[in-house]
Amino acid sequence: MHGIDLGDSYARIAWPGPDGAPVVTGATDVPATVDVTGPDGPRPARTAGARSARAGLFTGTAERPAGAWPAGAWRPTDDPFADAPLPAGPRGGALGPEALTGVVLAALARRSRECGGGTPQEVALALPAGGGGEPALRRAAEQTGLRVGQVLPESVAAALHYGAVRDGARLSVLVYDQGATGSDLSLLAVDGDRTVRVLETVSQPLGGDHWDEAVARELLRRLGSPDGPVGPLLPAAERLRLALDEAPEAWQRVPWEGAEHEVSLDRETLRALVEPLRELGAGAVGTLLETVQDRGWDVPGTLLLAGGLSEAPGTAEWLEERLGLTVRSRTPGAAVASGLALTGDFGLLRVLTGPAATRPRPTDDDPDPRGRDTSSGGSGGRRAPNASRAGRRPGPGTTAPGPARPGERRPAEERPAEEEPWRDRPWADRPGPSERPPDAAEAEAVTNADTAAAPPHHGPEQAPPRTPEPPTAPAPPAADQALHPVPVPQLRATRRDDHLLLVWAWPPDSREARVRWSLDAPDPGGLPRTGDVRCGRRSYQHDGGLDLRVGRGAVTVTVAALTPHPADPLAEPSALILPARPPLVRYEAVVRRGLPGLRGRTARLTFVADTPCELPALQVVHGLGRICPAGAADGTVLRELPARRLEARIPFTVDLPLPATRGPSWLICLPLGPDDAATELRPASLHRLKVS
Amino acid sequence: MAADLVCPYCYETFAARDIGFRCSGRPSPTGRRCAFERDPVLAERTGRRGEVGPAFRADGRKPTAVCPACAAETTYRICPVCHSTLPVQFGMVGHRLIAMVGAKASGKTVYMTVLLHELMNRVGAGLGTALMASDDLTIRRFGSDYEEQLYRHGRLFHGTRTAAANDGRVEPLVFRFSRSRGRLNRSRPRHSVLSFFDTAGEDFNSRENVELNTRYLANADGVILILDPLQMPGARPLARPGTVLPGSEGVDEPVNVLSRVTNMLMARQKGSSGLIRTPLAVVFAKLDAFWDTLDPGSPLRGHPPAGDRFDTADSLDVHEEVRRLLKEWEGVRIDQDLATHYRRYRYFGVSALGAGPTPDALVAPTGIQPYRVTDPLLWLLSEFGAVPRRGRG
Repeated sequence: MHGIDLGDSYARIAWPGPDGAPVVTGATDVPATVDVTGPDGPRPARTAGARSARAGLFTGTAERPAGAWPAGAWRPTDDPFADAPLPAGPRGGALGPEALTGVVLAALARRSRECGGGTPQEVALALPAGGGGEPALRRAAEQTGLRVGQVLPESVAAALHYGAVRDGARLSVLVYDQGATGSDLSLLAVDGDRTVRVLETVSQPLGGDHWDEAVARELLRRLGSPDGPVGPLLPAAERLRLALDEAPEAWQRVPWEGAEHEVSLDRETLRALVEPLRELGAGAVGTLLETVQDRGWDVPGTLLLAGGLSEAPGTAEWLEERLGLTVRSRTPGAAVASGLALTGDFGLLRVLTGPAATRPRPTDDDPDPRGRDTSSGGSGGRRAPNASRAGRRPGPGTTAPGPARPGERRPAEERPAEEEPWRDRPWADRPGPSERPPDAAEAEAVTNADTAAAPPHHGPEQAPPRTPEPPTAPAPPAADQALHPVPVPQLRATRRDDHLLLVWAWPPDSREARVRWSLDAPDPGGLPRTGDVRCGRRSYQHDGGLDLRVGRGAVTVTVAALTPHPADPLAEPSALILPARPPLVRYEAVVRRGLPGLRGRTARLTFVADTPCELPALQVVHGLGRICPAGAADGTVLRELPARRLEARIPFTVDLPLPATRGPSWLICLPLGPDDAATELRPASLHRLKVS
Repeated sequence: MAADLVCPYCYETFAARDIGFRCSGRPSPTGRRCAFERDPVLAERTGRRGEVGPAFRADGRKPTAVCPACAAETTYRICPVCHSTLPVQFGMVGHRLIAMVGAKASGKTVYMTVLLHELMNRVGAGLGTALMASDDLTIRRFGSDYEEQLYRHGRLFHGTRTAAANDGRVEPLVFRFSRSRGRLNRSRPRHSVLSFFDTAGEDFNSRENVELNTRYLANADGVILILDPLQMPGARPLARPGTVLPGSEGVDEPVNVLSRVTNMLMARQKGSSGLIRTPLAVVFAKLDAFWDTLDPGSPLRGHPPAGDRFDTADSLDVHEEVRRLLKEWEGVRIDQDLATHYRRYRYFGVSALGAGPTPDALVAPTGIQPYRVTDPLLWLLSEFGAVPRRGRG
């Protein structure tokens, strides 16, 4: 599966490489803005007047020009493209957001082919933190000929990139996605059973464009026009900023007042210019952490960086020093695309969207016009003044509907119906109006189409008290509240028929473990698709491990011991992914005398399978002696049976004459191809193959 | 004299009426009481040198007797040979003596400990049976010397003390095995006395050493022969990489141990068929080292059947599978010896620990996961009729 990250300025595509690690295209290979004015028709370009595909797609408003701000967001005071008219398409009609997105997606597909990633067929796409626009995004992809396999929040994709979503690992992380036009700060609660809950999201109109504005103002100062318009210098400022990602100093030639001027910038200067902007971002993180503590959530200890702006040198170090958090920065610009590309082999993944109906904190003490929080969830604690200025966000406590900005999250009751993530997923839990309190905005989705029949799984309560848990949610006993799930070492599983014996080493201070499992496909025998049990240490010792009946299909098992001490957030998870065993065909031999048409003894071989399968070509071997033959060389091949299809529980019988012998003899069936592992052939009872 | 009883401690035979009694030492109705004293017979035969009530003879077929010295009634019945206190109801309920033999380092003690632990806990609960120690010494020894060492401390055992080093004695563990019979509210328990004695492997490394255990083996109702595939030259290369292989010093090949045990049993055999009548459970231990090499459909990788009966069909499947493995392990001679000398024998494949121990002789950190350990004993008990079976064979 290919992963596509549709950014504000650039788009990236990723696919699994030969070693399983995602391969991601270059940061600036494919612009995410479309020039509709060229003679060759619309094409992705970072030219003046190019329109952002993402902006219109996720806001439902008119596209914005490249290098400018999304509609509704705070924008530089002298944005030259603020009121640009909607562009006309090749046939004279206006190109809609989906068409613009299609142009970018097609370019990404070409880029994938050029880079050896093949032609994308099925793709995973990312939604901004606000979560809206999924239907339009899907339509855009499908109109381009792509099949949409997954749609995930960008923050979750980034968490996948960093390996934060792992079986058995339960942790709380912050994802700081810094893009061109804004930044999203998401608090994720990752459960050990592949459940990710987006507890809170704070969006700030604070991105690379604002850095570019700061740089442009510096250039204006150097050019002797500190009060001049920044718009003409924004492209050069962006190029300088991006160049500093690679080198300590960068140069650009800029036209100004009829002449070419060479301007330079070094990293130290850039760091000084953007320091106030970084402080704003760090302040939002701090405010969110306060909210986390107020609500009693698990305090995150790790911040994961994503987005192109996070590529700026020194970003991780600055944040780590400023916030005291562990900051992880590994190709943050490619994090979303990379994480999306990993979903193909990831299997079941549940994404729950946390409560959004909390109120922002008062902002009277914040004179900064940029504010610190534009999130409707308000966990950032401060409302962005530009929201009311734009007339779309009347303020806290109001419920007036209106389009959201990119990256802005709104309560569910404010979202248009098509933006409800669960509305177009028939397999998701759809609470009725009476089941959903008016202030709850939890939406949940199971992001694996194979789990259509699976009931939604709910882990231990992570949400604040205002968020209602579904009726199926197990209420943890009070005594467990002080216990933390930690991975267990030496987890092993042994399959025994349709049972699974789990063993692990217990942490010294653990007396109970939580064991969860999920089958990748429904079991033909009707076994439950998922399971969640508590296993006491005494019971484990008494029974010699934990025995589960899971059938023969592929199964994922996670084990977490409950201990008084929390787990290391970066500890390896304790999970096992066991592949399915091949279909089982049982056979038995019955010796009879005097069947019509056959002289002497005859043997009737009966083959039965539990599931439809292909019975491979077989040899029927007759061996003499007490010891069961292990191969054709140990006896005489009486007959070769061609391969054939077996239907479930419909016996297939073969009669054949049996040679007269003295003493014990055996009649066994062996696959003609010794390495044929597509079907497991097993006698119903080994000792009954001894036919005399 | 009808010698139909065998002492579960010294394995000597005697008639029921010869059972002796020991005074309790408590005051009698007349006010007299016997003083505790050292019993030289007990000391000589068992090595127990503590002071006990005086022994006297009476009609051993009765559950009680009156001490001729103090006139106190006593229920302590003793073996007329070794003076060990016999289990309650001994001679009135069935009793079976199970000998456990095997080569040095074949895992007999670990196997016996896990077997008894399983019968007392998981398997016993599934079968509806109970296993209780019959005397204080067994309670103390099994608890502290065996179960606690293995299950609580995770330590494997040092070599078992040889009979030669113990003045030619063995020290059996004696249990009462009870199983409810009947249905609904009319069930009544059926008891059997089980005596296990664990031999040192060195006792089977030479004909002379085997002779020390002759009495015990000859009078055993069933023999569990523990063989270690890792001591078979043909099987060692097939063991899972990293398996701790037993050393070769002082270790004899399993087929040689079988030959010596067979020779000794043959010498005492009274039947005319020429076949040894004592049922022999041939147990191949440490099977976890070979799980990876077994066919996925092997009965030795399957989920053992559960239920309150011994599953004959499953046992026969395992029997045939082990016989097939013997060919791979270059152990066909074992099968030939058994087929030509024993009337009843059955192969078993077990793993007492479920995983190999650590190099420093500790149980793996994942704990103990026994696999099929109780099958051999349940087969023997089903042969005696003490455990019902499902199916024929």
